[in-house]
Amino acid sequence: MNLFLSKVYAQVDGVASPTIPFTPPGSITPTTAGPTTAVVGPSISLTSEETTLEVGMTSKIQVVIDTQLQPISQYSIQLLFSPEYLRIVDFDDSTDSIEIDFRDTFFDETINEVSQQQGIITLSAENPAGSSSITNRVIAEIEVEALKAGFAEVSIGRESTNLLTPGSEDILQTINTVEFVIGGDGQTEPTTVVPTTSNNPNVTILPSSEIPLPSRTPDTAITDNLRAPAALILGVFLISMGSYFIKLRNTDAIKKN
Amino acid sequence: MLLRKIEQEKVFMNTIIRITLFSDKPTIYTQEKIQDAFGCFDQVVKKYTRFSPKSELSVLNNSGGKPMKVSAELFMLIEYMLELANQTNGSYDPTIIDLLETYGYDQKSNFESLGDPNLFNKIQKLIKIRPHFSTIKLDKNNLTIELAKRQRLDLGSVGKGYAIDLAYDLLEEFPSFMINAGGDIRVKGPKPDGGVWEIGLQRTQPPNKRVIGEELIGKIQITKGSLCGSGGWARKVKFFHHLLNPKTGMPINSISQTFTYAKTAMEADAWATILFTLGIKGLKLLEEQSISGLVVGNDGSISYTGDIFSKV
Repeated sequence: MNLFLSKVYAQVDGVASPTIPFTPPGSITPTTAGPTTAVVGPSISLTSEETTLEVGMTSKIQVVIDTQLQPISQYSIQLLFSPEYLRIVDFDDSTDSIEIDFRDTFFDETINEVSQQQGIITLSAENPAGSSSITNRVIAEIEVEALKAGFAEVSIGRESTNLLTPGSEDILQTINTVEFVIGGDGQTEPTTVVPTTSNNPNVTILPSSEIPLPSRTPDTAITDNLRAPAALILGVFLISMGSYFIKLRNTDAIKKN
Repeated sequence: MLLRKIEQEKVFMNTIIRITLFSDKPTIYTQEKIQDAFGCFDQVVKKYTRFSPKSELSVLNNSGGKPMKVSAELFMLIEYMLELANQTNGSYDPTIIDLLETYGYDQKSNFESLGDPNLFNKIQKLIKIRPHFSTIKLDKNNLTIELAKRQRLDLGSVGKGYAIDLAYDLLEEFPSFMINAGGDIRVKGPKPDGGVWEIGLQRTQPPNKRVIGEELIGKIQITKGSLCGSGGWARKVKFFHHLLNPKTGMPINSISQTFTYAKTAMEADAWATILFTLGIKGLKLLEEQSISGLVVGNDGSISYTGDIFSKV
């Protein structure tokens, strides 16, 4: 726990904090008001103004590196996103590949690649001439477009991400994820259907999901059911046979006459 | 008169309950009273948890379609929650257990369904067919409650506050004390030296924002009443947190956290949740109820109603 925060909390009689419901599910560690996840150390953060998008909307995500006063000479960042739900908007239309907006003027970009199919963004940069510098700024911006209603996130792939000192030590300690709730295109709040009640005690009205589905699809065409064409053919056959016998009888009658 | 300070804490409701009390009575008597106060939390869980099939609430939840006689206490709690649901035109809804469980917020709590590509569609389908809270029939004369089939209630938004109030009533003979249930707080009287209770408002990580260390938004000073907080992003799992918009079934992300100050903890607890569901526009509704409230926006901005928060 951060010593400064401990001091702050010690100055009050109690701390009011957002709480979980009184009977939360699962085994949750008992909570108490006070700092629980004080963050220390160099970080790579993703930030976005939006948390809720509509299909077709775009949002910008900023990538912030804060080395907490420690100098670094190079960094690599792998970002993972949900390609089914998000599309990365190409920052540079003049090239064939998709790129994001690299904004770090103190470092030289070495890799800037987006695989829309796999949902991976790879960004690497190094300090010119092997020097090192302290970083606490936005180093890149990513524009994403919401493709489909649902839940999507952009996260940092820790294993392929690092902040390297001149001695090649990875000092990265803290990362985060941005999440989006994507509503449908022009989606309005659905009307809640109030179930009706029946006056007949023998009749139970089931919610629509409980209505048993028919065991087979209704017969809507001749080809849906072979018995129908078979009956038709049989009918034609019987009519033909009838006509034949009537004709035969008439012929016999003529012969007798 | 010399007042002794006694402080004790115990774990109930997956939260540390701390009681700080100044007593003018014998120590053993005071200790017994504090234990009785802790017992209130235990009793509320046993009677009203939805995770035990034997609790009164679970029996009611399994009675869908038929009127069931309940205790006067449970009737009062459910009547109060439904009044709030009506007042907020359904922005607050105590019947959304089915939605929460679709996300995996059940007893197992493994949240595997968060990776289900059809989760969004399942939520949308459920929203269309689930019974509306207004179909619940209350008969005050006979103390019966009739839920629609497959409809269930949860006391999550009032249970802890109610338990604090029960404990408060048990300790009311003492001149000065504070009950702190994991951040939901109720106090009685100034401290023996005439000083106020100083309560910090904890800042939690705002959604989609740069990683920060937790800190205090500010402090308020009180000698009576209750202060409660709400904020889904404080303990979220991926994109999910338990504060849902009942009309869309989606987690509410429009604000970061809320605090409310009211006469009782049950009111403050419930209205903190309501304020989270309504956002800044809910402050007007709080004013009408003579309840103070504070909203922290996703950008850290603060909006409030009531003098108590004016110095935050």
